[in-house]
Amino acid sequence: MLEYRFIQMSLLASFLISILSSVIGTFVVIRRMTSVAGSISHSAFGGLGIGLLLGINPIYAAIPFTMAVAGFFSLFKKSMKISEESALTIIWSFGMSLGILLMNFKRGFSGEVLGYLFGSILSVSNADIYLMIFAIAATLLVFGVFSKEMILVSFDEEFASLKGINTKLFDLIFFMLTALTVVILIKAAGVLVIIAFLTIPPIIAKRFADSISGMIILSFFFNLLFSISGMILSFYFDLPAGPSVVMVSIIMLFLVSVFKKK
Amino acid sequence: MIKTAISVKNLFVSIGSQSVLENVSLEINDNELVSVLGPNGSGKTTLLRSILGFCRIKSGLINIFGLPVPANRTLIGYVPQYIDRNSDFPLNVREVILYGMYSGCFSRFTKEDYKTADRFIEEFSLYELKKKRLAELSGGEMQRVLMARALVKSPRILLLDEPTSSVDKKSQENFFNLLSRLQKSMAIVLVTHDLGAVSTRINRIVCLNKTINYDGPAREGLSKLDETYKGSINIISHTHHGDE
Repeated sequence: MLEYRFIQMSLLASFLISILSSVIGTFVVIRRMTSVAGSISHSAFGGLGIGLLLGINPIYAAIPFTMAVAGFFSLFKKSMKISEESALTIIWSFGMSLGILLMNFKRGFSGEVLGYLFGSILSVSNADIYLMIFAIAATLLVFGVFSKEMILVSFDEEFASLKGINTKLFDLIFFMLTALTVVILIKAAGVLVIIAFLTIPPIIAKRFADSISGMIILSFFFNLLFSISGMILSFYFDLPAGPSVVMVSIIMLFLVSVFKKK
Repeated sequence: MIKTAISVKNLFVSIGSQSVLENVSLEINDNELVSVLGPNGSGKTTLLRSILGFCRIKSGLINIFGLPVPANRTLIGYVPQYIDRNSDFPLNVREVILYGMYSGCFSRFTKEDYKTADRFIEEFSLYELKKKRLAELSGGEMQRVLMARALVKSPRILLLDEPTSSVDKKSQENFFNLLSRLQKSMAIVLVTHDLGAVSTRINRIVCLNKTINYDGPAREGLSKLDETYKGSINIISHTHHGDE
């Protein structure tokens, strides 16, 4: 299996997205914004639709689209006249509906669309790898330089504000990085199950780790383990990659919940 | 010369269409300990949050040591009634207090910061708890952690929102002794509806019910409370308990 070039590329992609997911996923979990990230990830489908309609790489179209949706939500979540829960439902359904409508104008993309819905880690390209490296560099730079600010804003926004931190700016940056991450994860997990891919490893890691850095490191290993398991299942049994990864991680979560009480 | 630590002038605050504070004016001096009293929904917490700059003000002016709130906000230590965020966050007690030492972007925590945090852990009898997460603490322990975090950077003003709501009588005693010591180096505003706790320990009280009904010596003010808060059963019944 390892002699195939596409397998080598997929392994490299699994390694890279595990780095990205572990950092962003850990913060999504500790900030208790799983449903927010879930809605943002579904909205990415609208961006994919725009890309397909315009004939450009759908991932490149999905990045600015999803970032715009995430940025809008970050800036206006507190001043909206509807509840946050309702706003998230609207974002989620808007993105999916827009994507489906736009894709309807372009016939003959059903295979590609399925790849975006369920993930196709075995078909990563060089461009995908470069994009992953860029996203990792941006994420590690932000979290490396502003780790204290990111932690304080995530833990206690009012206290962070009292300490002179521009909480709106750091919140916006986090939402942007989350949007970038979910779009990149489309290739590995597919729009429908990205959120499980992003959050189950840190949820498991939280049961073992006592610190945020510990959570990130453990989450990286779980992500890698699940991605490779999904890849193997996808290769040998011709199963869609995303749901395979998620099923493996849910089984693991169940086992950890049974045997590790915390 | 006595410095004015907090100055509130003609403050009006509304939340949605409901008016919460109406024409509130108040001056609190440096080294002064003031208790803001009032029944539930009287605007006590909103007043604190306005001083902190967390509420949108309809009209009025708030200054901290002569400057508008945003400029001098870092001089304030704040102990909320509870933390809004998740208490299961993977930070332990020591880290929570250490983050109170935060001093700006690109700065790192120094050895001195760690030593100071550890000194506060000792002072607030938190040594046994220093590796625990907030979710594992009782209400009283949580209040001690939040107090330590608010004080670790030596603020000039300390704002406390119902700090004695979840502590026993012995802890309350210690708490008020601590406030008396702290008063020598900062202005303190204590928001509470617990009259028993403040009756013998605070010199100046401010009675609030959307607007200020009384601002003056505690002894005199407490005796007038029945009149001031006519119909506010919660606070009056508590007064009688405190007197017993």
